[in-house]
Amino acid sequence: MTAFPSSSFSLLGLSGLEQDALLELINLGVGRAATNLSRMLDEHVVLSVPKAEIQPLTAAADALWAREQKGLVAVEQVFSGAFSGSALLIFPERKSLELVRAIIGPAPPVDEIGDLEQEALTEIGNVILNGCLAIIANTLGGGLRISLPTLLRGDGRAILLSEREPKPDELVLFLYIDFVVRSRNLHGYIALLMDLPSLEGLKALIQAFIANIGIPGRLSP
Amino acid sequence: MTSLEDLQLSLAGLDEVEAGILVLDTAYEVVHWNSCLERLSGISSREVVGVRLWDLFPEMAGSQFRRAVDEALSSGVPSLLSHALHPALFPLRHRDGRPLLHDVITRRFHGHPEPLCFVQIKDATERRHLQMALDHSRLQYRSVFEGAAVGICELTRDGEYIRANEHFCAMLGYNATELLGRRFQEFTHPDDVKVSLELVRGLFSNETPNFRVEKRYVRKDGSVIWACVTGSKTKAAMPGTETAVAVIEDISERKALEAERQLLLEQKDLLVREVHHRVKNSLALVASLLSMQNRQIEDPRARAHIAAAHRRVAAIAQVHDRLHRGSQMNRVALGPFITDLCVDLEGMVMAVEGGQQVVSQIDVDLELSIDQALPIAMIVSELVGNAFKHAQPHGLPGRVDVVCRLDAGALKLNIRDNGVGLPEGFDPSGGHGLGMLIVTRLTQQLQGRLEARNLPSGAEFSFTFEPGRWGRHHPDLPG
Repeated sequence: MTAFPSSSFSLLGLSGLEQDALLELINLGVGRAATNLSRMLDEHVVLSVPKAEIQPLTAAADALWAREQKGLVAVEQVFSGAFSGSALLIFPERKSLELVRAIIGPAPPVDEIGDLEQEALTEIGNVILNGCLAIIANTLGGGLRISLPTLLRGDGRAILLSEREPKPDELVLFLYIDFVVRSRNLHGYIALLMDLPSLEGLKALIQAFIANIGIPGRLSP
Repeated sequence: MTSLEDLQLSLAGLDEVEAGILVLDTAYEVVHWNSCLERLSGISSREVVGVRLWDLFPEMAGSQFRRAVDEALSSGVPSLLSHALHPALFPLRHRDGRPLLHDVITRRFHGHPEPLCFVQIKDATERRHLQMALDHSRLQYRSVFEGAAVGICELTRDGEYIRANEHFCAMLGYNATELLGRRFQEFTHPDDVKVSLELVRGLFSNETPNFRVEKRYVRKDGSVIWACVTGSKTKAAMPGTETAVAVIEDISERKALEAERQLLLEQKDLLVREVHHRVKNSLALVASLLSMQNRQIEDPRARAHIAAAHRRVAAIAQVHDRLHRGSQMNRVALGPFITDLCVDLEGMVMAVEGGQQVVSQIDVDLELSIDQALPIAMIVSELVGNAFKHAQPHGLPGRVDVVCRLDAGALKLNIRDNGVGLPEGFDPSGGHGLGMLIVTRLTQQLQGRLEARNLPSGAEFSFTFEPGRWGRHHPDLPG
């Protein structure tokens, strides 16, 4: 992993060091996800993050809705503890189908994603999200309860807002993910949904990470 | 009791659970192996508790399951290992020997101070069978959908195409990607959009269970095709997700043949009309020639004969004129026809005799074929002619009344004069000259009835004819 071409965390009011630490956390999480996926497929998988930003939940939902008109599929894992929220891995439905087929091979020629493929996708999502969630859990040193993955379907608003009116202070850490799996190029998103107290939790997480690393100066990503 | 023994005791309650449950400690040693798992694996709890799992199942040591256990133990992250990707993670069997498809869930066990991994094994066999049956029926649906020799498409209530088979795509000249997500209105001929929308609306509001309509589509190349569309609503598992399925058959060829047939029929009508027009013109010419010739004749008897011939030809011409002007080529509206004929007859009689009057009182709404109209025209013409010839032997001004009405489906025609009356013992079929001979013969031909009687002042001829009866026994025309 290298530095992202584009990142915007200004909403959090982080210091330069903290911003770098957050980037490093993302790097670690996505890197671990790639490792998990590579091990699962017994093949090298490249995950990269061309863009990462923190933005209000409604803005992220609108942007996702505008970018991906067609149906989306998402794997969600909810976590609670010192830091609460949920982690989502989001794919355009067709891309998710390609990802699953790249992994389990061609299925019956049905346009929509079948039940077996949904289950496979849930597990793949679980493997990828666990990479990120493990980093958070480990950095916090335990105390985080994480749910099993569930599959969601719908458009960007349905998936991110779950048909509810978000509070104005709800923010999302939104990562654009490019996959190279079995020489196919795919794209998707990882979204980390947090309420305001959890933002403090995120800052605490960043602080804990910096403290664990124990490097006083700037981190090179 | 150690805390582990405590734990094992509390885990004993999980024996009742209808799922395999296995608890591992950080050394991967089995802490608990519930009775369901004993049954499914054929391995008893006594054989495995305290044993390292990898010693029992060496192939698992390098598997995804190992990674999941590690994550649960280290980070507390739960994992789901689906039968979709791991068909036989544990060597488990049903009682009947069939392999047991299963999903495995690993998570941190929070009820103990030491990190423990809680493993749950769920039977997925039944679900898998259901899925396979579902996949099978989906495939069947798809093969019917794709293999059909007619167009089939599926639409939302807004008219958006969500599925379209190859045949339908080819019909419109688009590929599926271009069609899907767009609405049928965009591809329907502008003149047919309103009707189509109304039909789809009726379908979704449950006003009609299905519909059938002939409509036009505009193809990608701009050409227009005709199609017969049958639409019906699909049943949906969830309310509000109903769709409509339409079966579309290209009927452009049939429509083209129909249009061609219509054109030929119109051309034929035009031709027949033209023929009637020409026949009428020729007969009118003959009538004029007779009239002109008559003016040069001195002999009153000869003049009367020529005038009668003129009248007869004119009556036939009148029939062809009616046929030429009518809406139908082979039928004549009797009422206006007899009215006009009476006006013509008065004009002709006036030209020869002077001061004569024909008053018609026609109250019939009846259409007759040329085979019926022509003899009736002749009968009216002869009887009116006769009335003027015989009623006023002294050339006094006279009046003839023509009354025509329908009585219980029968046509009643009365021709009355105010003249001297019929001679004693007059028999209409007695053969008194050409006029009455024509009337008698034509009455026979029409299977009608002719009666003659004297009124207090004048004579009356009554002609009765049943158009319905006549049609069933059409006798040959008299020679």
